Amino acid sequence: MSDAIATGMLAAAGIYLLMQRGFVRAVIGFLLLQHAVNLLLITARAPQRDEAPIVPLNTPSDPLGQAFVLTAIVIGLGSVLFLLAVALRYSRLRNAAVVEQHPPDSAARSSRDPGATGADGRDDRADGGTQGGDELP
Amino acid sequence: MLALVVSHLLVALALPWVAARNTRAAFTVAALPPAAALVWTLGHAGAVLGGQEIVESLAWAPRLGLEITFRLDPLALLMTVLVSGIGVLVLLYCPGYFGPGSADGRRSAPLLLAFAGVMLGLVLADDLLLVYVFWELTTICSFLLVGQSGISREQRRSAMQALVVTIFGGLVMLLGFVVLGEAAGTYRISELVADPPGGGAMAAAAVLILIGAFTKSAQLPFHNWLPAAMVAPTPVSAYLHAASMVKAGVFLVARLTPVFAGVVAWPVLTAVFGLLTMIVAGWRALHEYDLKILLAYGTVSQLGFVMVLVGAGTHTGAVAGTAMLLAHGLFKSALFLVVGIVDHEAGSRDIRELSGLGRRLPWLVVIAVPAAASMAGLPPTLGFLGKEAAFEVFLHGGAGQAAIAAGLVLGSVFTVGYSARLLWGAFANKPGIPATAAHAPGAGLLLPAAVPALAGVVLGVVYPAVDELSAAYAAVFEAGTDPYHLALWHGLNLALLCSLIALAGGLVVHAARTPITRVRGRLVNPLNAQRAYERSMALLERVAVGVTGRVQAGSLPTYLGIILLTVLAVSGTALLTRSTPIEQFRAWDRILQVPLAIAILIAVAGVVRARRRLTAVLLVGVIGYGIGGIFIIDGAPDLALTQFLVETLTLVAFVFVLRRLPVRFTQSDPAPGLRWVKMLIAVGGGVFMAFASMIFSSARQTPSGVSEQYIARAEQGAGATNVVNAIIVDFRAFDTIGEISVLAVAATGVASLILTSRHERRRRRGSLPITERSAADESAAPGNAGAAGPIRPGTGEDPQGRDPRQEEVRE
Repeated sequence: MSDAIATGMLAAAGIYLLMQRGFVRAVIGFLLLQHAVNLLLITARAPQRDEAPIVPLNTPSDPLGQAFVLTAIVIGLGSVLFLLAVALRYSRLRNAAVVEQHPPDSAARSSRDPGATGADGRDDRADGGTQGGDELP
Repeated sequence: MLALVVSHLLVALALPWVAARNTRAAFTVAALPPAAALVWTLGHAGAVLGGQEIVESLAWAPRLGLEITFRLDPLALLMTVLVSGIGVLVLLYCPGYFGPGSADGRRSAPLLLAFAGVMLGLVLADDLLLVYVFWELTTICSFLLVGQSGISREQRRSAMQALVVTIFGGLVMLLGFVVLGEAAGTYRISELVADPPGGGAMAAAAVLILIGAFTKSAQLPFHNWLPAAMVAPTPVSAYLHAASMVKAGVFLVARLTPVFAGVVAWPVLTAVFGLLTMIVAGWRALHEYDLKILLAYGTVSQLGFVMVLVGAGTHTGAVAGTAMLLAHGLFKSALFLVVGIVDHEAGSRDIRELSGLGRRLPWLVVIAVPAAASMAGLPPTLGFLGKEAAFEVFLHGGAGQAAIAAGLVLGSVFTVGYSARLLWGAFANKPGIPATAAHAPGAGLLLPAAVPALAGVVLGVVYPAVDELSAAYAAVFEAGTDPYHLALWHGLNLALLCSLIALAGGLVVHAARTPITRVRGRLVNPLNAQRAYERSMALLERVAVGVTGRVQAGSLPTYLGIILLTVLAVSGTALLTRSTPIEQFRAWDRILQVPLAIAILIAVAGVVRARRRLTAVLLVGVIGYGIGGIFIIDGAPDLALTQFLVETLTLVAFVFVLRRLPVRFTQSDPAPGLRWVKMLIAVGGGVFMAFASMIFSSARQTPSGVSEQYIARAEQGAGATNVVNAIIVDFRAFDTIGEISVLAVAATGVASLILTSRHERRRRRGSLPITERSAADESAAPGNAGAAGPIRPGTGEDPQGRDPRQEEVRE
């Protein structure tokens, strides 16, 4: 029960942060969501026992879920590090205000239905660097 | 047979090299594989007509029941003769038409050969799925051949229209194939014919497959792509759009008519749409001025005619259909080649500009007249045999049959009319139009056109040969006591009367062409297939833009929100309506869980509310270590160790990144009203997860079989006392290899992202004008090149002045 509540809380916070505009907040949200899923996998074991699955054993808990989560943790580390590197690069480009206009991108943007442009439909260069932030479109 | 098809494609692959050097040689080489196919097929003709079938099968995915099966039966024999025979002629005609070194010629040679190969595969295939593959390949070849260089807008539009219409039909047909194949349990056509499946699905399959056949064979209302495709070079039109590819639809109907013998819709649909097509297109052809377009509408009309015959599902219908199939392939390709020669030598194919060509090009008239006679159905041509048989099919039935016969007569009147118009338009002396100048065409152009034209007459005279072929295909159908046989003379009968009516009517129509065209101008034309096609394409584009604009909002929160709402709606419903109850409802398993959970909760709340980035990150660390603690309590020490290690690394990485970012989070929410929506979605997701966690943890009472096996075998099998370790490095070692690869990829990505930044920074810092610098270098370089150079402000990193940039400049 307490595990379940922790899982739910982590998930809620993760989702909320993921939907924020800041890149770093999104990364943190991603991390929290990942914790939630790991916890879910661990608590979904059967039967509910607490003894580590190390021989000799009497009542071992389910090792399969643990193996999965172990993999997930490591992969999660890779993803988070990569996202952080992207965040770094992104904020630097915004701060430097030198986002190079990529021709195919701008062509696609202008060919888009003018009424259907993204909710904020602005050019990245227009406000780049003023806030020094890491906001996502 | 497989070797024949493959040899076409292989030679086609090598052909561009030949074509780049010598177009004539390329076309000659290209004619070899079809010639081989023709010789091989004719060599087996006796055996096939004797009732033997040549089958070749290659199982390429036996587990899935997929195989490449080719079968040479009478119908395939007929089509192969058309496809390969006309293919050889057209390829020999091409060098004269394209001229040496023309870009279109270079492009067309390999494409035409590839087309010949896939078309051969299509007619020989005995498997529905194989038929579909070849079917679409012919469509692609057609697209490329019609589009050619794609420079003109018209080329692109026509090629696109042909592609879109026939691909649409092909996909619908594939659905029909699947329905048919699943209903019967086999995709082999020969097995389907031998034992046709029954049931309600068959009607659906019939309609779907007919849509495919109608699009390919340019039946109403899909016919417009064919006249549009006339922008293609004339040899291409002669081959693809007269003799072979457009025949694929009719051929397919002929193939499957025995299968759909029990489906009422099959003959009705083919008769209705075929007749409509025959009459409407024939009417259009009467008014065209471009000889090629006239022929194209003629082709559409004739395809409708053949469609009626082969769909009828009777013995006589089959005989008439095959005869007409062969006749049309011969005379239409001959006429296209003739028009190509007219175009090539006189520089125009507009009826209003051509005059007196008959006297200048007598040999061309000699070729064109028998071909046109076959088209009009005059004795003793093959066209006459086919048309006689065709009237015979519907003359002995009820009112419906009689109506079809009447329609066929009307269509034939138009056919005679536009045949006459073609000859008159191309060759006659027209008052008021100056005689057209024309070169004499060479034998290289005339001979390929002459062969099919003459063949139409010769086969009409030696009709028993054609009759044997037709009867061999028609043997599937019940013949009755007195089966129909093709012959030039059946005595004075109703069919002959019909032929006479058609001939006389057609000549009258041609004589009265001016008033008839005037009448047509006054008729309102409410249904225009071309306009309908353009409108539907425009509508499709608008819908696509609209949907894309709405779906691709370009906003991450929107995407996430949609995904999460879907998860909540679908999976949440499944959870709520579950059958597993929550049995072990305990507040905690161990008391230590409670303080850890509370710590996590507090930290989570702190992260969400944090203003300063560092605070948030430190709280994330708290959460991570808390999770590690829970792992320990839940009996997962390996996880806990990993979690602690990973959490530490993550913290370090975060701190490195935060150094470069502002201290506080940006607090500009562009849409504060949406905040509540986001919160609602987030809370929904959290409740969903908590609920799922409780259900999952009580859903299973015994360990899964896999887990039990892992535990039992860890010690003996992997020599490990730690089962989790055994799983990671032994039982599921491949997973671990994959995981390591993912890490390596991520590390590469991180490194490249960071190194790019560093590189840029360095470049920006050293933005001293290069000219200035190199001048300074040159003054300093002689004498003390390796010694201490001047220290420049701005670079600062290397007092020796030996940063790599400078080395570049020196070189």
